[in-house]
Amino acid sequence: MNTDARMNQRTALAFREKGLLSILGRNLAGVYRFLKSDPFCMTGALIYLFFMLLAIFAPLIAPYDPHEMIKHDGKLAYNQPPSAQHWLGTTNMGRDIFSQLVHGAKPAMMVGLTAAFFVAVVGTLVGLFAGYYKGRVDSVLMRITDIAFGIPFEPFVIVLVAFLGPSVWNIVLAMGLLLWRDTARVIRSQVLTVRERSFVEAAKISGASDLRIIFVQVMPNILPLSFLYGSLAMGWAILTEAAVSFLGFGDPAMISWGYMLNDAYASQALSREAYWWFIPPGIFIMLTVMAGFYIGRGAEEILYPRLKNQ
Amino acid sequence: MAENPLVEVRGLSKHFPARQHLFRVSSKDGEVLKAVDDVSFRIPKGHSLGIAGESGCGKTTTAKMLLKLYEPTAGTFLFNGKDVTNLKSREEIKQFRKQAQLMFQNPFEALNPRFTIFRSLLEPLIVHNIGSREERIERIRQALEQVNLVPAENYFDKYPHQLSGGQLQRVVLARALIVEPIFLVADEPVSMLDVSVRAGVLNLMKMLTERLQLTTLYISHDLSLISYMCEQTAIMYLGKIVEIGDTKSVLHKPKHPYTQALLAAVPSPDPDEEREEVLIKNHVPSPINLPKGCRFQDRCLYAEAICREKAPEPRQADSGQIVACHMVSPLESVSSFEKNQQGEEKAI
Amino acid sequence: MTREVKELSLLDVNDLKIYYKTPRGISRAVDGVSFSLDQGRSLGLVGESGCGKSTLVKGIIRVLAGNAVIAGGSVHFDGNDMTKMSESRIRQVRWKDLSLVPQAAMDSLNPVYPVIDSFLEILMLKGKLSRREATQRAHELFAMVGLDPKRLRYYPHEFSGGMKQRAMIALALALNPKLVIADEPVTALDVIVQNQVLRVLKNLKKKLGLTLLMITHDIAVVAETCDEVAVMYAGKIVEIGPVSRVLKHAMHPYTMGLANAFPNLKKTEGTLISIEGSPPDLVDPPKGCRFAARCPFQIEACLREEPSLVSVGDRHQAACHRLDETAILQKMAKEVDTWRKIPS
Repeated sequence: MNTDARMNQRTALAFREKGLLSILGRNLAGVYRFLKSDPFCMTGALIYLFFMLLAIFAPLIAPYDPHEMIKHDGKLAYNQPPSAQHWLGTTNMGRDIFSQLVHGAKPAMMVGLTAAFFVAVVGTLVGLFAGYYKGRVDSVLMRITDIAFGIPFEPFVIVLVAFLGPSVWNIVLAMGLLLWRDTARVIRSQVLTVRERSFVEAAKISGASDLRIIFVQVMPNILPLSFLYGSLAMGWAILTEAAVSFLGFGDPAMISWGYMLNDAYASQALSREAYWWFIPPGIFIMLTVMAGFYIGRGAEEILYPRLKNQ
Repeated sequence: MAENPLVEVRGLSKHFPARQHLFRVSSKDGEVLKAVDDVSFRIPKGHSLGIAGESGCGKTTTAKMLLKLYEPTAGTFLFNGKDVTNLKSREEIKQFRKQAQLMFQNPFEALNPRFTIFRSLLEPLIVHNIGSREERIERIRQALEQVNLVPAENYFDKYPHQLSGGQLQRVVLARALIVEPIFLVADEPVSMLDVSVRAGVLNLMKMLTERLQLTTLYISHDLSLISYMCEQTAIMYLGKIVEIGDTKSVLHKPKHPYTQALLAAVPSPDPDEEREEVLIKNHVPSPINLPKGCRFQDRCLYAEAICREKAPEPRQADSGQIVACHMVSPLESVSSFEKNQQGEEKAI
Repeated sequence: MTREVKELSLLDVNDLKIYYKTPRGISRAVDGVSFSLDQGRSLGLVGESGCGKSTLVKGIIRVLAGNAVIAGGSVHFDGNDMTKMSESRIRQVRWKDLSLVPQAAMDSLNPVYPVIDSFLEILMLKGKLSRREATQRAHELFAMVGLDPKRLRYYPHEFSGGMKQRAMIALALALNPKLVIADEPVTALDVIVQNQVLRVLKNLKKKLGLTLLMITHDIAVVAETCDEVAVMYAGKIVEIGPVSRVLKHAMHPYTMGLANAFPNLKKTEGTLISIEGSPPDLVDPPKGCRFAARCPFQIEACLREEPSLVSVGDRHQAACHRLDETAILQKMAKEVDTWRKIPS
């Protein structure tokens, strides 16, 4: 416990000198320590890290351009099984599957992270204001949330994409418009409890404004929940993107794993037993969704911390 | 001692619409929960008043009104000479909040579990924009030293769950005092602490309120605590003050039958002491359907016709305190009560 | 420290040890506790948070949490060793021979059923009474605790706190148990209601010869209701004996300190004295006396060796190295300054 105390002392001093940067530092240190404690969470975090690196360094890792139709000796290298030149073989149009797989991490991460961000931020804000102010603000916000609940998710994404065009960003937009609803509901009920706690009353008595109380006092107590839903959203978002792409509404400019599945299906890869084409993207989708859940599950630990030591 | 009381309330009331059934909110006339009804008292500067009574008597609601957490339904609240009953401007309310502070009942809940002690103490300074960065650190250190949490630096980075109840309550006190208030309300400040620790916190509060010339209001159901901490005592029952005056008079020469019952009910830590019977009738009072006349009539052993007709006016008893009871005559001494006590006892 | 099992005692706890497995290690919540309770007597178990009294009681009726183990000793109830009983046998004993009025009993009544249902369930299922017999018994029980039997049909939320508490006491008495354990029975109640409940308990003691084990942190409640008192600190009993002896002629410094900490309405002058510090960590308890760190009378021996309970009078025992100096210590304990100079 002593090293903790000393580390806290150091970071505390840093806070007094540098302010925001050190709060961040202290929080990151806390996150790291927490990840170390839960193996599931650590696994999930590592998986994400792996995919993020893949997405960032895709051009360097992938041997070919994913769209490029490759010719060897003048002949189109289509439907080739795995070989030294093409680790995962080629598609029926001669594209390198491995390169597609690697590049597929980019839309997955983009969609996943943006969706997670939206869900966490919008859902949290809605939940915070609805739960804290109650009354009319609550009614209005909750009616909007109810409307969002009523709309089925995948069909909505498809319809929106059909209208606005098959771009990754339109998929993200559709998610942003709907996915925050669960978070909002749950955060709201959590806020309803937290706002009754004595330290919130204490803040009011000390003269703090409502906004200050919401963001300085209440929010830190519900952030773990936002984090949880954000990570769950990542999984859902990637799955949805895969489903949408699989159905053919995906972004053709950005080859995602779902798109690969669509491609494989359309070219009858199953009957040709070209497992090397559709199994890898399937596995990758599975891994990212799993990782999201594992991180979320770990976040539950933060939700019920061992605060009551007495 | 009424020159320049710091706190003065006149006719303060708080009514809530009463719920009749679980799912129906009734706002019919008369269907009102009169949590606090026409309460008046004064606290002179630097003095302490304790409000005692059982749960539901309105003491906590009164305290909340004095902290402006509730708006009174009726009455006036004068604070430091100014009428603060209906403050509108943000500035004025903030100024009030700097001067009036609260000590909470539950020390484990009163601090944000995600804040370090340092951060919790820093918060009021930020809100009221007090001091530069260096000055704030110094103030926080002094605040902790003032409540005997030394060395102060050791506590800066601790979280609430790492401290004991007694230590937490001291932090809560430090936080209340760091903005240099002139009025402190303490709501059951030690009821959730272990007994061996209570005295420490109480003695600390006593010393600090004296040193800082704080005007204090204690809310408690524990008469021994009020007796130890307060110069003046008020006894509340179903929203009204039934007896108020110097603690010595109220607790040692009680005039109101309810006060007498309360005092008789306190168990004594002396196992050989025989306690008197508690002279009160077994009846559960309902704060919604209040009877005409004195609110205490259904439990009072001395109730007579007039008690059922008219609510008693507060009058001064010979031992100094003010009592609201028809059966106590200001000119008579305790003897008439003793006569009644020998009558029928329907006590439990 | 083991003793022979006394034949006449209804409850005989002998060197009981209950430990919790925590992430930080083994917490010795109850570490060698012995006492006996005779039929018809009442014992108050006094101590502060973390002293082990709740654990002790849960250990007696075997409702300990999953991470707790009975690491040693025995609990003889009516001649049988409870620690060696099977779960099904214990379930037979529970409520029939030994019942519990839990802490915050107000929340123990199921809010969706009228109160009488809780009684009928126990009386019919365990007591094997017919519905009519059970209803009659429920009426009797309510009358015994001073509640209007008409209210049996009401729902719990229509009862006040004190009424719910009395209902729970009535429920605990349903099957005529030999021993009733009450865990902080009056802590959450207002003083007048508290008084009513205590009177009920005292009446029941007189009329039914009820044997009562009461846990509380309030010395005044014990002084009023119990014949004997055991003072617990950090998992051990530091003093035990007849209530007036222990409270008025305390032999253990902790008891002396506790007595000082209770404000007495009758005494207007004088400062309340508190005991600085907090109880020791039970995962790594100190060698020697567990109260030494907070004790104003600490000497070298206290840090080296743990004192055991020795007899200091008729049925009165205390665990302290300085028992032969109690006359002086008792006087010093009343001074405020004594408690200020605590060696660390």
